[in-house]
Order: sequence, then structure tokens, then C-alpha cells
Amino acid sequence: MTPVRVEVPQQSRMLLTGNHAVAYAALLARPQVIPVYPITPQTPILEKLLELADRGELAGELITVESEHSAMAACIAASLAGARVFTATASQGIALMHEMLHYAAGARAPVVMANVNRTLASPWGFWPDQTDSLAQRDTGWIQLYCESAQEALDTVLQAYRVAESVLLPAMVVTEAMYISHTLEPVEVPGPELVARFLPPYEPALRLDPARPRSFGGTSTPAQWRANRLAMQAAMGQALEAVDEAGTLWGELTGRPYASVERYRVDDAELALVTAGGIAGTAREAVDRLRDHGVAAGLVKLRLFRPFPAAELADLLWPVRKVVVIDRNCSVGSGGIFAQEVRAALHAHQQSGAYVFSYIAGLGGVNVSPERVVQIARDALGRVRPPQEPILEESL
Amino acid sequence: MTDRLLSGHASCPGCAVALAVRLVLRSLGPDTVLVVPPSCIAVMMGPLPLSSVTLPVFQTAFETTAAAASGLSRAYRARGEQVTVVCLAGDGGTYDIGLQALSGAAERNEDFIYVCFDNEAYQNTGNQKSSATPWGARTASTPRGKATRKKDMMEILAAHAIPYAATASPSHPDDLARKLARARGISGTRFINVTCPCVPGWGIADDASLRLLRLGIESRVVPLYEVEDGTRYRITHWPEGIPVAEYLRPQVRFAHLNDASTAAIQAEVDRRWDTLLRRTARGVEEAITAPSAALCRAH
Amino acid sequence: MSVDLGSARPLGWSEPGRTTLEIKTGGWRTRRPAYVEATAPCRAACPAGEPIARWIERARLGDHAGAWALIREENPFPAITGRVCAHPCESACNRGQYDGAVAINGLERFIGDWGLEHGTPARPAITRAECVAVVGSGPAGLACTYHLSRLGYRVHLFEAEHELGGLLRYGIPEYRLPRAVLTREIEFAIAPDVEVFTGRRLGEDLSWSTLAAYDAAFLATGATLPMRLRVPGEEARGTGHGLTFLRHVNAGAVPSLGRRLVVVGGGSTAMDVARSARRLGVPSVTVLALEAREDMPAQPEEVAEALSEGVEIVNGVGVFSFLEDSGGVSGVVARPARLGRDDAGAVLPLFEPGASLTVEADGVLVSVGQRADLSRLPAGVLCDSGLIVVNGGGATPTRHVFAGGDAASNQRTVTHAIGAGTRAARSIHAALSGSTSAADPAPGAWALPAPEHVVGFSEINVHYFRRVRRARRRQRPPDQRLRSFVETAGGFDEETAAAEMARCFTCGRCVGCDNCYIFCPDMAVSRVDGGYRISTDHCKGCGLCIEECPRGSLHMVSER
Repeated sequence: MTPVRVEVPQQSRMLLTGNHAVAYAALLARPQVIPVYPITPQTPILEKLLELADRGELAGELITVESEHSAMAACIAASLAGARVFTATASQGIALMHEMLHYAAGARAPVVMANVNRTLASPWGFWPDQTDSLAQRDTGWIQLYCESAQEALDTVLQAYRVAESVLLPAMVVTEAMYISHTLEPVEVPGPELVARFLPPYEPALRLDPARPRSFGGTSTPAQWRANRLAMQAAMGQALEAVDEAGTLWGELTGRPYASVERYRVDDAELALVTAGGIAGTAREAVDRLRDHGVAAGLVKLRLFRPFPAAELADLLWPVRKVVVIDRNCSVGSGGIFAQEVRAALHAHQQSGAYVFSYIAGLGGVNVSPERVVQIARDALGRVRPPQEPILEESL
Repeated sequence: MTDRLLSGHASCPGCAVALAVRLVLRSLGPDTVLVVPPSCIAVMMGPLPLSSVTLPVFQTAFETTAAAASGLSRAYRARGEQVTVVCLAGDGGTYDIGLQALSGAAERNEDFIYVCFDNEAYQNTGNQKSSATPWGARTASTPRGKATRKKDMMEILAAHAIPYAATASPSHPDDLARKLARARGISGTRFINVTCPCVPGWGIADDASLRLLRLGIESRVVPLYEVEDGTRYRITHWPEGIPVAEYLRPQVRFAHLNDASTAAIQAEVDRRWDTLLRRTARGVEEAITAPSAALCRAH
Repeated sequence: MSVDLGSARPLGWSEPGRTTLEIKTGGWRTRRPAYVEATAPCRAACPAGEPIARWIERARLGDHAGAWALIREENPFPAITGRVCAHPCESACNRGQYDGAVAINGLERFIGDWGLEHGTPARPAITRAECVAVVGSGPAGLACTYHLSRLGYRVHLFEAEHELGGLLRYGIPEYRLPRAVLTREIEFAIAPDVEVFTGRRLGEDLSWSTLAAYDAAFLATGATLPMRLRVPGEEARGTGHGLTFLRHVNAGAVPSLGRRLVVVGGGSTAMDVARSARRLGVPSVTVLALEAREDMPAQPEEVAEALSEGVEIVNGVGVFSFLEDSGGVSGVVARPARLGRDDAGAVLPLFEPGASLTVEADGVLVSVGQRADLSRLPAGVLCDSGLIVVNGGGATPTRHVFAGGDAASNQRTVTHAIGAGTRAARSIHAALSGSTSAADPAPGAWALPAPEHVVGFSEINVHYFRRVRRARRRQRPPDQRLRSFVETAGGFDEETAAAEMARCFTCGRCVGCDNCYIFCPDMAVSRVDGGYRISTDHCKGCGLCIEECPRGSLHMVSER
């Protein structure tokens, strides 16, 4: 969706990296407890928060915990005590948190966390790869993927609104280096604007000695199941909440968002489907393809959990070829977005037979607009997708 | 003092942990929130939707007791609420899997009271050895007797210089109450290790926990003492010094020991007691000669 | 943004107000603790059946009047027994196996003396039509009279001597039992509406037909006839009987004694005789006792005091013969012997090989026991082996004739006599009214009576009792003692008594220490009015309460 230029007086323009944009978003959300642990490439988020705290601008309790697992444990507890929390991590850190990510979702703690996609060891690397966040897709967290510093800032604030309304934790995902460390001009809203968007967090259920209720007791199979189904229902509500938040944000800032964003899809024969940084590149590739007479379009998967299956199915139904680009590979299977897209289309009685799965940018290898064009042309040249995902190296 | 633990909880008959939890909770005020990891205590807290405690209890993951307590403590502070956060954890969740979180919290001097109910093994899962299991004890995972000595948690925490650490026992309820009162009166990371015999795990009669504890205390296997700021040691009960064999004899987990092993245990107990005495003396000297070592108290 | 999430709302929280109290863990157990009121060993050993642990408890709580009253539910004479009783309670006391028996005898004297000074004896009203005759005003007769009055009976008390008291007045020297104490105790015990007839001796001034007219009669005529050695020279001038001597001394008539006195006998009377003689200035007093030192029937304290007062005691010898000269007895020939008994059960020395011992003496007092004068009783009253035949409650086979004390028993102590008089009064009451007098006041609905169980030392949890040495009685120094018949032993002061009372374990009886309450891991013990209650819903039967009860007032009861 093309951004609408609206005169909104309560924003100021700053030159920010993706990490610092996330930090400013966290500042604006006014979290009360912020456990932090350093890990490349997320460390500048924590550095900025510490600096803001030192300057007296950030009032929350910063806890320099001794590991990411502890960071998430502290987040959950603080959240259930009724505090708004924030943390950030990447790669090994989010992997270490894995147990606690499940715990947070089961506890319905609306923790908001920024994750910077970075390759997972082994071997060691510091470059963008989506496996670290995608490997958490079963944990019950809302996942939103951002392609720019501006989107990252905007999405963190929307994530709070969504998370606190459906009571599920949410992670806002950017990519190492290309977004986390790249400067761009960012409109930073002021506190009054944010206050109109994000009310204070006051949960009805919390750990309160004045009204003692306990959390986390042993459950029976039926009780555990009920909790799981409640989470599923909450995810269903999150679909609407994400769009509602994106729309409201647009009214306030001039930058509306949606769970799925479309670019030149209306008459497209071929739709590129991707998430994160490659989406920006793909948008450029679409223009180039169009310039060469290819009816190409882009469907940006912004919301990954809950998976916007119905909306995606509607959008892609008229498209002849769906070309999914994954910056990840679930070894033994293939690109994760491709799996999810195929499953969604199949569930909506649309054959996944024309979904082409491409894997590009693994390990942080740069994906240029030319590469994306090449991928599109490769798909155009095939009648049907092969059974295996197509690796960029083979092109 | 009000009872905050209620009947109907699922601990074994004669469980010293249950008694110790009861006594600890009697010493706490109503503005308290408890943090409990997987343990016998967690099972005691009651199956959903029931609770055995009149205070809010947060059951957290095994590694995370002290981290969760840190989060809670900061949250209440941020919200401007006066709430005491108290952890009730077993030795497995403290000495082993929970040690990282405890060490991190202690280094930051987070504001909570951490009570470890030490029954010297993972008793909830059937008496598997933990690093709190003493040398020579038979457990499900050390069927010939544990070949390594018990980890000295008090010394670990003394090395962190937390404001207050103490050992205690449900057989000496006044001493335990006094230590909790002391802990409540200060802020920062406070730790109390409460030794609790386990009826099935240690192999004793249902009614034997307290008399066994008295033997443990009088034989110096379980010394009762406090450490302030990691330097000032105070012994709070002076034991008679009966032979360790009297403590070991009633326990099935030690039934296989021969005289040489018992003598080795006696020697170790004697050595540790002597070390404690010297630390106590040195602590007194340091208190006289050195300024107060209360650094980094303020957050 | 507070939206009702409906089916998506968070679960995993406990429900307010719902607790594990709903889970009845009491269903786990197969046995259950119960509070009991068991018998303390002191009470089991007390010949007067005093509820010792209970009266000590009252006194410990500062209720001296209550303690005094409790003693006097059984024994009207605590100031007396607190001086002269052989205190078998102390031998049985469980604390004796820890750090020294509780000085019960001293505490009883303390309370008894308190009562004499501050107590107000109840004056029971006569509520019954019957009139009972009591013959003999020694401890048995006095106790019987006292209890009969309390039960509402009219009592006529007959006494052969001119004053009441029996052996208390005529046998026990004043340095052991001051006259003033005895007199006041009797005043307190014998109500004004008891008719007292002194100078009335059965068979002389008092006929059986007179007695037979009463609704019931209690014979407590004692055993006043001295036993003889049946040894040549026993009747020589200068020889006599110890009890006769004591009677004279207690009546104020000091007999003339020589300079070397031999006392034959090993019991309390022999000690009383020897020590009285020393106070009367006899320079040399030698006791010849058949028994070994540690087997002497006299109380060990009495033996020790006699020795410290310069009495010489020779053990393990029997009198073989007396030596005489023109002045009368001049010596005693004694030979090694051990204790034997003749066919009638009387003491007989069994001489053994060994050198004989000749003791110079110008006076000999024989104190080898007494027998009852049964000649004055009508043929209908059954006697056997020198005693009136009675059952445990003091009843003779003759209808409404009862007996007790030295005339009916070989257990010849003041306290046994008091116990006998007490039991007889209750038996008389049962016989006349058909009802049994009230048993001990019920301990309270929350504890089960278990009087048949005597608490053993293994039931005491000594961890809860700091070691404290037992209080010592003050004694006048021996040289001071010999100057007069002023009381030898001192009593406890308030502070000493309080400290000693605190040493009583209170075996078998709950004192509300709260151990059971505080040490229950399941909070199954609650405080109820007057005591505790165990929740049948939640008690798991672990037994920690029983183990930690310091004094054995909880027992385990099977529920199988």
C-alpha cells in the first residue's frame, strides 16, 4: 500500500538504524521492566536503551540479566505482575529463550520482543537468516516481519496494542545488518500521539497480593487442552487486531499497515511472496519486471503468526504463479514460508501446485534486485514447480 | 503469625519441606508474592484451579526462579507497589539448574528473599542426585553412593557478598523465624537454606524428620549460621558435637556405609566445622578492623 | 482495551477462594493421633493417689490455691507428707532418668506450707443423714474423716489418746514434723461439725455395740504394740522400746537416758529414736541394723542425716544377747546376720559365721516394728496374719465395717495410711449411697482418659527440656540441729520452688505447649477452647505431633 502523506504535527524525523528505531519505539511504549542481554546484531538496541535511561528519558527498570533465557523469564514474571515489558534478542539468544517463549504464550503474557534475524550456529555467523525466528513459529508468539527501520518502529508500537488486547506475546522481526545497522530517515512519533494509540497496560488478571490468585499450577489433560484452544482462539482474534492496529496507526501517523501487503498484484500473473528485507528488494524487482512487460506483483507477508491464510488465499487466487522466496531452509524440508503458503492455499481449496519455492540469501548472502528478477524469470520459464525447492545457486 | 499454607496439599505424610514451607510462610506478611519452580513445593501448591496458599504464587520454569523473582521485584517497584518477593525452591532448582539465575540475581543484588528447601536430591522425580546430595548418599542415580561432596551453596553466595545468607531448619522454628525476620528487615538478595529430610528419599520413618534434623545439627552436619555481606559469619546454634554416625544410622540412604566411609564423613564434617569456626573468628576481626563492605546496594 | 476475550481468555490461574482444603487428605491415613490424659509415673507410685503432675502444673501457673486444693482432693495433709513421706513418686519420676527427679516432696511441702499460711479450708456441709464412726485419729482415720465430711457425712471420730494425730503426734519427732504444722493441718482437715471423742479406747471406753449402731465404721487403730526381739535380757533395766520412748519425748516427758545408747532396728522409727536421743544429749548412739546400708527401710535422707548427727550405724548384724550387770543392761552382743522371717512373717535374724561384736551400752531401745492390737476387736471382724482383713477399698467381710492403715496393712507409711483412709471413705460412700464418688474431674472433652497407661521415659522428648539440676533442700548444720528439736529441714523459697516446678515434665497431660500445633506439616492441628483438635479431614497420620509432644500426651490410634 502506498504511504499517504499526511500532515501530522506530532512526529519528528530522525536518521536511525533499524536497531535504534526499535529502541525509540520501546522508549515510546514506556515499558516498566526491560531485561536486556547483549548479542550481535541486537546489542545497539540495548545500548540505546541504556543511554536513554542514563539521560533520564527511559523510566523503566532495566535489568542486565545474565542470559537471554533469564531475560525472558524475567519478562514473563514482570508481565504477570502487571508491568509492560520489552526485550530484544537474536539468533543464539532467541534459541536459548525457546523454552520460555512457549511459557510466555501459555501464560498469555503480552511480552513484546524485537528479534534481529541472524544465522544460528553452528557454524558461527552474524548475517541475516530467518531461521532463528521461524524456528519459534510453534511457540504461540505473534510474529511480524519488517522491511525497514520505519516499519520496525511502527510495528513495535502496533505489537504492543495487539499483544495487550489478545494477551499473546509478540515478536517484531528485522534483519541483521541490512535493517538493524542501516541508517534511514525515520518519522518518530511523539508521546502524545503514542498515548492516543496505546493505552497503559492494566491487566485484569495479575499477581496481586490484594486479590490473591496463583498462576502455573499443574493442569489436567483437559485443562491443558482448554488453554491451548484458548490460545488458538486468541490467535484468531489477533488476525483482526493486527489489521485494526495497522489501520488506526495509519490514521494517526499517515502510515497504515496490514497483515499482508500487496504491490501491483491486482492484475498480476506472477506474484512474488516474501517477508523481511527481501520484500523491499522484491518491490524493486517487480517494477523492473513490469517495465519489461511481465505482469508481476508482490505480496509481502508481514504477519506470519497468526498465518493470514484466508487473506493470502484470496489475494493469490487469481494469480497464475506464486513465487515464494525464503531466506531460510528447514533442512530436510525446504523454505518455511513456501510450506506455509502451500498449506494455506491447499486448505482454502486452491491447489498449491503452482507455488514455486525459491531459497535465496541463506546465511546473509546478498539478494539483489537482479537476483529477484532472475528468480521470477526462472519461474516464468517453468510449467510447474519442481518437487524440491529451487536454490539460487542453481540459477 | 498467620498460617498462609492450607491443609489438603499433596506432600508425603511427615514431610519436612511442607513443615518448613509452613513455618516460612508464617513469618511473611500478606504483601508477598511467591515464586516456585518445579519441585515438591510446586506439587504442594495445588492442582489447578485450587491453591494451597493464601498468597499469589507464580510457578515458573526450572532454571528461572531467581530470574523470575528479579522480574517480579522490578515490576512491583516500577508500579510503586510494596510487595515482598519470596522464592521457594528445591535444591535441584537452586544448586544445579537454577544456579546461573541465582548467581546473576545475586550479583545484581536483586531485591527478594530466596529460600531453598534442601532435601538433598531431586526428590519430586524420585530421589535423583543433585549437587546438594552429600558424599556417600545412595540415590536413584548414585546407587553405590555419591562419589563427590555436597556443593557449598552458602560459600558460593558468600562469594557474591549478598547482604544476608543463612542456614536454618524446621526443627528450630524460633531460629528460622528470627532469620526470616532479619531477612525481611533488609533489602537486596537474601538467601536461606533450609535442610529438610525426605521421608522416602532418605529412608526414614514418617515421624522422624525433626529428630533426625536435631541429630544432624548436633553432629555438625547441618550447622546453623548466618553470613552478612559475605564476610561476617555468625553461628546461631552451638551444637554438642555428637558423632556423625548417630545421624547417619537412621537413614536408609546411608545404610550401606562401612566404618571407613563413616570415618571419612566424620573427618569432612570436622574439617568443615573447623573452617566455619575460623571464618566466624575472621569475620569478627574484619568487622572490627575494616569498614562496612556494603557496596552497590542502591539500584 | 479491556476486552472480554471469551473463549480466548487466559486460563492457568487459580480460582479465587478455591483452595486445597477441598482435598481431604485425611483419607490417606490408617492411623490417627489422639490426645490422652495418661497417668504420670509419680501418680502411679503415690500411695495416696495424688494427681501430682496436675497440682505441680497449677502451682507453676501461679495458682498455689488451686494446687493446694488439687492435692487435698486426695491427701488432706500436704504439709505433713511434704515432710515425712518417703516419696516413691520421686523414685518413679521420669525426670530421674534425665537430670534428676523432680523434688516433688519439697514442692508438696512448699504448697502445704503455703496452704497453712494462706489457704482457706472448705467447710463442707452435712448433706446426708448417715453417721459414720471412725476409730483412730492417725493419718488413716483423719483422712477418712476428712473425705467423709467432704462427701456430706456426719462423722464421729474416736481417739484413745488425749490428742488427735496418732503416730503423727506420738511417733514422729518434732524436728521432722513440727507440732504447729501438725495441729494446724488437723484443724484444717477436721471440720468443726465432726464430733471428736478423745480418751476413748476401743474395748475400754468404747464398746463394739456403740460402734455397731453407726451406719458404718472405719477401724484405724494402728499398730501400736512393739515387736519383741525374743532374746535373753530383753527385759533388763535400761532396755525399752523405741516407740514408747518417742511417745514420751513427744509428750514432753524426757526420759533419763544413759551415755551409751544402742538402738536396734533399721527403719524410720529406729532413726527417729537415735536422732532424738542425740538431741537429748546422749553422747554415743549406735544403731544395729539387720539390713545392709542401702537396703535399710529408713529413707536414705534419714540415714544420712543420722550419720551427720553423730549416730553410728552398724549394718548386717542381729542382736544375739544382752549383757547385764548390777545396774541393768551393760552391753549388746551382736553377730553378723541377714534378714529372715519366721512363719508368721515377723522379722528374724539369720545369723552367719563371723566374729561377734559387743557394744557397750547403758541403754537399749528396740525398734524392730509394731503389731496391731487386734484383741479389742469382736470375733466377727476377720483377721489374718496379724492384720484386719480388707479388700482394696478397705471393706471387711463384715457389713459396713471398714478398716485401714497399719491395722490392716503391712505397708506402714503415713502416705499409705492416708491413701487407705481416702479409699475407705469412698467405699463407705458407695456402700451407703449406692453411687461411686466422682472420678477425677474430667480432663476436658478434647482428651481421652487413658488412666491405665503409665507414661514411660521413652515417651518424653527431652530435646524440649534444658538440663537443670534438681533443687536442694536447705538443712540446718548438724551441730545446730542437735541443740534442739527445731525442724531440721528447710523448705523451698518461692524462687527455688518455681524453678523446680518448671522441671516437671507433666507426663501424659497436655499443658498447651503448641508443639503439636506448630509441627504439623498439614496444619491439621487447631487450637480449640482448652486444648487442641485434630482434623480428620486432613491429618495424614504421620505422627510428628506424637514424636514432638514433649510429654506423651498424644497416642496413635489405629483406624484399620
